[in-house]
Amino acid sequence: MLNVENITFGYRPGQRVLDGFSLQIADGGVYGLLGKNGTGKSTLLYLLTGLLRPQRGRVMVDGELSAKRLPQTMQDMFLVPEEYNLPPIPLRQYVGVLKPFYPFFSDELLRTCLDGFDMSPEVNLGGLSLGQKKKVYMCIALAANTRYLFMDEPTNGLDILSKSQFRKVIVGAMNEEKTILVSTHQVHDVEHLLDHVIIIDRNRVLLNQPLVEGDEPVNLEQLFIDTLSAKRF
Amino acid sequence: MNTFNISRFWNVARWDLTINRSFYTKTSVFIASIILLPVLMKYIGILWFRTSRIGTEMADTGYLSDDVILGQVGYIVFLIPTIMTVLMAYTFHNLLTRQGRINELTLPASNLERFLWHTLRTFVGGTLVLLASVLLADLIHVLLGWSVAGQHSFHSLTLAVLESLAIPMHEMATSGSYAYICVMLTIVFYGFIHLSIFVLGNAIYYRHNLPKTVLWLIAASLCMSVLMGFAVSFIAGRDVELESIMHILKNISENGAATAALLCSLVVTAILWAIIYRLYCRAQITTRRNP
Repeated sequence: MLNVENITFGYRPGQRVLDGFSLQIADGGVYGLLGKNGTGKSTLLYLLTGLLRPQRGRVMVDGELSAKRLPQTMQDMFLVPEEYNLPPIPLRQYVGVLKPFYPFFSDELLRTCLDGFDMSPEVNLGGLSLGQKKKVYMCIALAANTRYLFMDEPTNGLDILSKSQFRKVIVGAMNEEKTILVSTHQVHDVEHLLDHVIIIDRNRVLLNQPLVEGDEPVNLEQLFIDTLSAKRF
Repeated sequence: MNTFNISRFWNVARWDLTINRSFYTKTSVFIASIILLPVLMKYIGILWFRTSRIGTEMADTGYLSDDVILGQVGYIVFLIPTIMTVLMAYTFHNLLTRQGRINELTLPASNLERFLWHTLRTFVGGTLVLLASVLLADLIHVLLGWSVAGQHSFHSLTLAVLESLAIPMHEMATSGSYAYICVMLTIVFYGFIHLSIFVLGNAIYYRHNLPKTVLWLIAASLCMSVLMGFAVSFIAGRDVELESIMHILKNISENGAATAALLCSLVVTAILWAIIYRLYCRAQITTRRNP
């Protein structure tokens, strides 16, 4: 379980990206994290992964402070940042050095995900385009089989076909124990993927609701606009 | 919590060496090149003298003399601490970019395992690369000496470098003087403190840390000089006779002063490394110092 308790964080003195912010995320499912620019979506992902320390409050991952970056906590989470630069080495070699850190790493899942993106496992990471690097890195992240997977704008830089592949790959790699938190502005790319939507502002959660299967498909963009409009009045 | 697992430590080592292979290779080649430079220059000089017919004799006698070897040894002995200083300033080079910080800080290994690896890699790896570079320079020196200058006996550069570094240690070991040993160890620790300051600089600033550390050192030296000046003027203003100060200094036991100096250097080293480790554990993806 991810537990954000009354945190305050700013990059500069006097500036507050998140102020008295709290959020709980239960295990299992794909969560969409939405919010206006500068409301702290990426910051929240960095706080959850222990890459930032809150000035006040605390961020707990399965009862442990994320800022401690304990190996047993870190091996249960994976972050796919918005931009990623991979070292110029063969994918097989990269996976070989990363795999020992993730006890549930699945080579089979890696192959399936790469197939889903039409990528070969024999690529050299140095020769890939930005979009290809992103796809490969997402495959590694999914194959790491961590309980928590955080994705920051995962569809940015992907072409139309790749965005469709992305959805299929995520669905294929999903299981009941996994929790995926996707921070994005590209609501159309992920709306059929999400089980749950969270819309945040800098000091509160404006909406935190499940998108129940079987109901009418939710227009995420409209939901986002309505939620922000409701906040104004 | 500082957990340490040896297999995870080796995994960190494997991971770091693999993802930074290109960086480490280029750095090692660069170090070897600058160590090789005087050896190559020497034989280029010999060839130039010969082809320009200025004087074959000068080339064969002047350039093969012991003075030239001593010059090369001096150059290498000067380079070793300089290179080590630069290497120390890149101990946490993975933190240079935001992506590097994500890689490093989200790796499922403890802070202690990663910290220890980076420190050992810099100290041990740096020393090994330096040693290998000197050995390579020696080998090339022998090969070129034999093929270009027709030499059959050579002064080993490696031995000369090791001797120049080992003489103070040997003197220390054989002196039998407690104070001398303490002073020599203090000098060794002073060198270590100097290197540690550059590691500290890298733990504070991830980018442009080398010039920033040098500037901070200059500023600190200036402050120390000013403070010393004030202290001297304060003492002078108090009409304290120089003789009485000398009398106090004479009464301090040689061994006691040497022990105090050694203890001070040990304490400073320990404090420095405690700060470095704390800063490393508290590293974040973005801070005001490291945007």
